[in-house]
Amino acid sequence: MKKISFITLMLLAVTSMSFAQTITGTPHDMSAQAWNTMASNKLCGVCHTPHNAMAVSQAPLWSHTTSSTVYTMYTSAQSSTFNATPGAAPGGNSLLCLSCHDGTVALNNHIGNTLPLGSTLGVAYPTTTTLVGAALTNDHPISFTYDAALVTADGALRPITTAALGGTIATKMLFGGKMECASCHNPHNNQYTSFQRMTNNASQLCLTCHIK
Amino acid sequence: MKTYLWLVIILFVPVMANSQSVANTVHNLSVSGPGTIKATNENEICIFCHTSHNSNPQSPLWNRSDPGSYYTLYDNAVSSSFQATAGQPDGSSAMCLSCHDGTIALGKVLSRPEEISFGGGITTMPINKHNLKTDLSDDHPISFIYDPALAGKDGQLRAMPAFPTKLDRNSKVQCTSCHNPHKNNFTNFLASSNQSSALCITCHDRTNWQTSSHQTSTATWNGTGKNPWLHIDEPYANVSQNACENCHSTHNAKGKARLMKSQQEENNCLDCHNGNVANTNLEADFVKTYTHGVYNYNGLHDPNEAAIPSAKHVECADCHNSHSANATNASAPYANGFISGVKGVDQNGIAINKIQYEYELCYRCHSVNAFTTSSTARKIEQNNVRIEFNTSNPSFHPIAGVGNNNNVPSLISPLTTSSMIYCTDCHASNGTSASGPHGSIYPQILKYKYETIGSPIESYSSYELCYSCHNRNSILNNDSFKEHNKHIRGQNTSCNVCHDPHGISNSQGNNINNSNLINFDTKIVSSDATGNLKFVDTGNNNGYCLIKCHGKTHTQNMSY
Repeated sequence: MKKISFITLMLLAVTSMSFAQTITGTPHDMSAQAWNTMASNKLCGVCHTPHNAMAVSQAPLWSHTTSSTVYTMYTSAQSSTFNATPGAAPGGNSLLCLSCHDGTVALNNHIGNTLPLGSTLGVAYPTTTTLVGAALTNDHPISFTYDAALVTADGALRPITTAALGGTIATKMLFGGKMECASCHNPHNNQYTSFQRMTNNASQLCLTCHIK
Repeated sequence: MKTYLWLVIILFVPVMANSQSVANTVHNLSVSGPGTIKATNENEICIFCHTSHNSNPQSPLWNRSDPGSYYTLYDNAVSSSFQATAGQPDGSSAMCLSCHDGTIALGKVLSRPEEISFGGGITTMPINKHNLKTDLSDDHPISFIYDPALAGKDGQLRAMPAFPTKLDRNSKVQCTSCHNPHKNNFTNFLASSNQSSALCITCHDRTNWQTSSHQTSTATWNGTGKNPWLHIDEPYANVSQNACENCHSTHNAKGKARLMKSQQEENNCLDCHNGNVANTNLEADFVKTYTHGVYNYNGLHDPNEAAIPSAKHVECADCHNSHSANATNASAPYANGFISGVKGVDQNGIAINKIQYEYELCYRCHSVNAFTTSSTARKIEQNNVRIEFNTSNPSFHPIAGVGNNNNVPSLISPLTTSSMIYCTDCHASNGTSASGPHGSIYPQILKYKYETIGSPIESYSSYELCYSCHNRNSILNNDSFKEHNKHIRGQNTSCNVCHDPHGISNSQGNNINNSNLINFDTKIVSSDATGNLKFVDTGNNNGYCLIKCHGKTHTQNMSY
């Protein structure tokens, strides 16, 4: 009995450790979903395809149909203390995340299985806290340039040369000089919950950039 | 050893880096927080107010529900001098109040499905001074538009606030105008040090404040009696440093209007002016028999009241402008620093916002509305002191102008017939106290004894009031009136029986019968058989009386 429980514990520990480092078993692992009828590549295929990928900017071998919805961005209209100027729409890798998380494209609308939302088999994003929607006004701003000028204007942001995630904010957290979803999130690794790229214990992730 | 050094550096660096961080403040409600009110399990710091997704529509990325619109406001019903338009808390203030009004649990955030639990079973903010509750009428007003128009209406505000005080995007004053919730470098999360009220005066611009004693005095509390600064979280050592906060409480003010620290008007002053901070002990004056009875009224004084008040009352602020008062000396008739910047009524009866002469202050209550009446029944009755001191009167003490009698041999140097005097030369606290008429053991708040009742035995002390200016020897030697000695000493007659010390109105009296302040006390002096009751002036030091006094008729045959 003791032995069995010890082995179970060990197994659980090992598996949870190994799962923590990969996409397998995370909420982004949709291979076991009933709607995932792909014959192969069930794990990666929802987002990626090895061949004949979509021509989407900053999208590695992209498979999931992107959104054509109109977004409302978080701008200085939301906060008078927001000094950056985001683009009119999300850019860069943020668009890839929003192709699911804005809720306008079916989860299973990807190469090999293009099922638009509203079609009989198109699977809608469930109404959960991770459904970001098209109104980005209640979400942390994205797709804005984070540079020395912004740091000066804001007064409570750390310089982009600040150490972060094994490099600096500039090298590890910005994409084309901009903050995007991937600045904080790693869709393939849920080690720190919410696919955060580092622990937010004591709000460390927030305080990486914010001087508060 | 090397390892140890590294450890020291590693330990110290984060502490230094965090010295200005929210993490080191009581606003860090996470398990790592330094305060006593904190969560039992929650590790994140920002989460109690902010979330990166699905925030409340209030910016910036707010993680709490808007508390609603059920607050009792600080508005112009609370303070007649509040010129702005009060509205329910909005913007960042609503967010602060979502904890600080004590109605929403501290751990109730949008991004956690369960309420974050707190140690000690705490849910909402405990009842303490940081819990402002939903009655904001005792707190500095917020969520009102501050613009040059408001400043113009108010008259005592800067056109726009100066750094570090900020308005929000709608030009409104909010909690964040004065507070920075992320940094607690200056106590109570203030945006800057409030020493000498540096923060208050970024908006409030009181006339003469910079030179007023309450701004400049380095007086400290001597440790005796009640601490006058109990209402301040971390009081500074002296008056100058505490500045506005000597009297005002920004939050939880007991005297709501104008956020006075005490609901009883006079206590705002007397907590310091009792000899324990200020040198003079006015408390001792105000418990004497004859006072300007500041204890007798409550809620009647209003800073916006007319120069001539309609309801009888007296508070310290009726005579003193605490934002302007200073210790500057002056000579009669000019107002000294203690009463600088107060309202008054000039000698023509015109209301003025800022007195030049001391008597103008007294005229607020002692002229047209004559809240006090003459204490002696006289041939000529007049309760309007302004009329009594008119410089075209047949005789008058030189309050509003130099006297018209150039033959006053009793005057003690340096006084001459060209001198002027103050009301407060006669009406003032007795004893060694402040120069003003706060309280006296003598009637009419007289500075010295002035016997008027019965048949007083003459002595220096019986008439010390008069003898302070009029040499007793000269009077008793009959230098001016050759029967002075006979009346005062021989018949125990008070000065007050024949003399009306203020003056006699030119519309009621005349130069023949009412020179030399003659206006008889009719309780003692009565008409003669032919109905005459008068003095007749026949030139310098000459005249006669037609009266009956204590049964003795005075006739022209007794002229001198």
